[in-house]
Order: sequence, then C-alpha cells, then structure tokens
Amino acid sequence: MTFLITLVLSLLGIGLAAAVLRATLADGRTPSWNRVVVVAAVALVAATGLPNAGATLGTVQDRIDRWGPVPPEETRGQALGGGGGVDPAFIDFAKPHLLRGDTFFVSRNAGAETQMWLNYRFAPNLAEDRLEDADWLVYWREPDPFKTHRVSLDDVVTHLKWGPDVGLIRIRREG
Amino acid sequence: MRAELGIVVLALGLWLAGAAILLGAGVMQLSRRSVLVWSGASYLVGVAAVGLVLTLATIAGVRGSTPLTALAIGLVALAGAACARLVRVPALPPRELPRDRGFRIFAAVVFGLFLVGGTGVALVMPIAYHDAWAIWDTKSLLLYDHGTIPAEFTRGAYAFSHPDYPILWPVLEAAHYRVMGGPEPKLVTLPHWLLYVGFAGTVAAVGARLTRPALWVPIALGTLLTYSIFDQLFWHYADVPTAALLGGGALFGGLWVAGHGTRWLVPCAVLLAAAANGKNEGLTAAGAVVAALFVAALLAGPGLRRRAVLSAVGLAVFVGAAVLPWRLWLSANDVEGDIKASRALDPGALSDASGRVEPTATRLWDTITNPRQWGYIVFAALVLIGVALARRATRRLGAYYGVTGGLVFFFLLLAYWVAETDLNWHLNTSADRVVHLVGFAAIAATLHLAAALYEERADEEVADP
Repeated sequence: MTFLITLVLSLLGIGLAAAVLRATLADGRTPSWNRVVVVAAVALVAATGLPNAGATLGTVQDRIDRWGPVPPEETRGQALGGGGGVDPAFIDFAKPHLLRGDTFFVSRNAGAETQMWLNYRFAPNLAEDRLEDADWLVYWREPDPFKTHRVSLDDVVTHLKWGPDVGLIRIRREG
Repeated sequence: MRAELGIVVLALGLWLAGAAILLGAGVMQLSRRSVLVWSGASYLVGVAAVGLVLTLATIAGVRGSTPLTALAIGLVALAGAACARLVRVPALPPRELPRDRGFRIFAAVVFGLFLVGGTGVALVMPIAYHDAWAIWDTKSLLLYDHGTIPAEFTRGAYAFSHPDYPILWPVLEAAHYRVMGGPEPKLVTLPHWLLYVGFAGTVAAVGARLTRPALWVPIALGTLLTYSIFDQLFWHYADVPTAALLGGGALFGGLWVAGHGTRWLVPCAVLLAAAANGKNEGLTAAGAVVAALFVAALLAGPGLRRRAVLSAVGLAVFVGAAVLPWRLWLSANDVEGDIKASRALDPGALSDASGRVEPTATRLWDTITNPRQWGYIVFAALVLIGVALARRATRRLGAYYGVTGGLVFFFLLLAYWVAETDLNWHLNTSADRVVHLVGFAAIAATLHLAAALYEERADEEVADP
C-alpha cells in the first residue's frame, strides 16, 4: 500500500510542479500541458539526479583510495566477503603444484564458500564431482584424509601438507 | 603494457564492428561528425554483435582464440559494410534544433569529470565482489584456458557457479584476457566501464537527434550518473552491462515505434539478442521489449500495421534464433537452473506460491524508487508514459514504453514468485541488482517520451525505409 501512496504522491508532485511552471512562466502565450509536464519531470530528474551524482563521485573516490595502492598480484586474494576462510598463502602454496590439465576434488568438509573459492583460485584447473575422477584430493579440516577418503598409501604420488588437517594429495591414476 | 594495448586494440575492433552495423543500417553516415556522434552507440552495438558471434561459436564447440575474435570482428564489419554498399539506406534527415550552447558545455564538463573518475576506478578495481569471482570470473577463466565449455563445468562441483547462466559476458571476458596476454587483475573491469560509456554516448546521440540540449542534457545527467549504476558497475557483475544493452535496445526500438524508420530495428535487434544472452533476466526483459514492439505494431494505422507486424516478427525471429542455441545446449547437457520456467505456466504452483508476490513487488518497487539509489527516474518515466498515452500523437510510443516497463517488472516479479528459494535470501541477494533492467528501460522511456512530448511530434514523422 505504501508504494501506491508514494507513486500517487510523486505523480501529483510532478503535476503540481507542472502547474507552477505553467502559471508562473507563461509569457503571453500559455504553454501546452504536455510541455510543462515534460519540463517538470525533467526538472525533477535533474534536481534529484545531481545530488545522487554527488554520492556517485564519493563512491568513485572511495574505490580509487581502496584499491589503488593494492599491488595487482595481491588483488585476487582480497575478495570482499570472499575467500571462504582460505588463507591466501595456501593458494600460493598449492597452485604451483597443479599442472596444466590436472583436476581436483575438494572434500565435502569444506563449505560451499570454501569450495567456490578454491574452484575460482585453482581455475583453470577443473574441479571434479567425485574423487575417483580427480588427480588431486584437496582435504579440508580432515585430520586423517587417507582413512576418510579410503586412499591407499600405494596410490599416493605427492602429499602436500599445509596444516594438521588441510592439504593436497596427488593420487596415481591408471592410464 | 601488453594488457593495456590489447584492451585498446580490442575496443577499437569492437567499435569498428558496431560502426559498420550502424553504417549498414543507415543510422550512421561516413562523415566525421556522424562517426563522432554515434561512436558510443558503435561500441555498444559492436560489443553486442561480436559477443553474440563468439557466444554462438563457443556453444557450437569452436575453440576460442584471438584469431577467432579477429575473424568475428571482421565478419561483422564486412557484413555491415556490404549492407551499406548494397542496400543504400538514405541518410537521416537533418534536424533543426536550438543549439543551447551553455547546456552542451555543461554536459561536456560534467561527463568529462565522470569519464576521468570512472576510468580511474576501472584502472585499479579488481574482481572483489562475491558473484564476480564465484560465478562470472570462474567461467571466464575456464573459457579463457579451455577455449570451450568444459564438460566438468556442468557438474555438481560448479553448481554454485550457476552453469545455467548465459555466457555472453564470460565469453567476452575470455576474449579480453587473450588479447591482454592473460587475466590482468587490475584491468578486468575496464571493458564494462567502456560499455557504460558507450551507453551514455548512445543516450546523448539519440537525445541530440530528438530534442534540444536544454532537455536531453538534464535527463542524461540526472539518469546516467545514478548512484546504483555507478556502485554496481564496478562490482563486475552482469546486471549493469546487460541492462545497458537492454536500455539501448529499448531506445532504438522506440525510435522505430515513433516512425523514424526500420533502420533502428537493426541495432535494436542486435542489442536485445545480446541482452538475452547476457543474463536469464536479460532474456525475459528482451522478451518484454519484443512484446511491446508487437503491441506498438498492432496499434499502427491500418495502412502500416501489416508491415509493422512483419518487421516485429523479423526482429523476434532474430532474437529467438540468438537465444535458442544456449537453451538447446542446456537441455542437451541436462543443466537445470534454480528457476524452472514451467512453474510459471502451472496455475497450481503459482497459487501455492502466491504469498511471495506482495513482498517481492514491495521490495522491487522500494528498490527502484529509492531516491538515494535511483533518484526519481521511474516516477518521471511513469508520468511521461501517462501523458503520452493521453495524447493521440504519442499514444503508440507511450504504450510501447508502458508495456516494456510493466513487463520487465512483471517478469522479475514472476521469477521470484516461481523460484523455489528462500524468498528473503533471494531478495536480499539480488533485488538491488535485477532492478537495473527496469531502471535502464526507464532511462530510455524518460528521454524519448520527454523529447516526443516536448517537441509535440512523435508519430507525425514519415517512416523512412
């Protein structure tokens, strides 16, 4: 209901402005109603739009101040509200080991945000749905990934331990 | 340096492709003044046309590369140049309008300031906001490296990245990454900024064509510098660029409705087809504009109706043909989205979810009419639509923009209505973004209707070929 009232009052406001224009600015020849409504509407847009543009200028300056000093190589690790709790240093540690074409599986212990962030930061390496299809297991908050994911030690090519319960295991795949 | 140079070269290529289309359609002439006036529109149309070609190629499995991008630009430019040579559309008739020099100088100064400020942000702003990395840039990086859509991307591991979303923007971004020599973190938002500058140039060019600077300059300044647009433009989401394509398409469609000639349907069709490939909401919004064009065609005088309907059918076929491949690809790969279109046609489902309508309508309305975000653009558009409908000479134009705005809003409402998501979460995370489609349609309506009503000439102009 509020939006209907707002709508009606705003339209009335433009009509009122048009009436004022028509009554006060008529110089010998009364301008047509559609012309004064147009002028009133345009005046409204301009008068409210330019203060709005002031806020726009503010946000432009804020962005330049915020991001200008950040070196390019650090920007990808500074997503606002992102990162899924992943330490940027973990990406720097893990990514060089993922070779072109390698795929990875992120353990389901990682929440959606973490999984999305790892998918993004490890791109263009592709995430797999099932561990059996992936070259790498990225285990997350799992103290014993070998047991949890039933990975035989004979199949381990590389084990990169980042923390007590976070790391990557490259698994040997036939063929 | 390679990255900056790559972006400039690609931007020139996109501009050239768009300029050729406008030349072929007869919108632009080969004169210094005409090329300058339509340069913003050239870039907007070029991005849309080349983006469409590359998107269709990607869906067809053609591996993306810089030579492919160059080929797409070359093909589009050649097609435009061939049309210009073969069809020979007469030049636009000259318009005698007051020069209002002071307004033009004021506009140049203010736009110049924002051009400098916006470019300043675009040169430092990385991909920092959630959906920009989680959805759009993840896709861009995969397309950049793999050249095509990897099969893995359709599976569960990427469910949160919405594999069903149209891919025009990631395809274009991947093309930018290639000419830049790789993803350059601090330049990624520059193409979206250039696109918005292109939209602003389109508004200025059409405004200058339609009416005096004393009228179009305040409208352009009061709408284009809106806070919500500038805030979200640099988030690097798909909402603002898709809405810019839609707004441009709606404006060019309006010129056809107002009797300025079928030449305007060419950029209209290209922009709507690209908007429909930019976002799912872009698809429904483009459908809204196409429906409004049909309504306007049916309202044409008896002698013109048949031709007008045929023109609208031609445009609808073009847009439909551009949309179909992605829909077929989704179906072939069993990719489903959050929102199932079939639920919109199920009266039972609509009735069951009817409780979602009122809160959605209220939130969308409150967002698009929030003066701190959008000023009073929507109110101005609504009052102008009302006045245009009341006058016989502008009734078709008023109906066109009324149906466009109404349907764009309704389709957004419908999407929330039939979605099986938590409504509060859904609205909180997207309402302020999707309303850009309404906002840009309102910008087009305000500019065009104000000009038509002020000049008191809309449908009086004789249609040219």
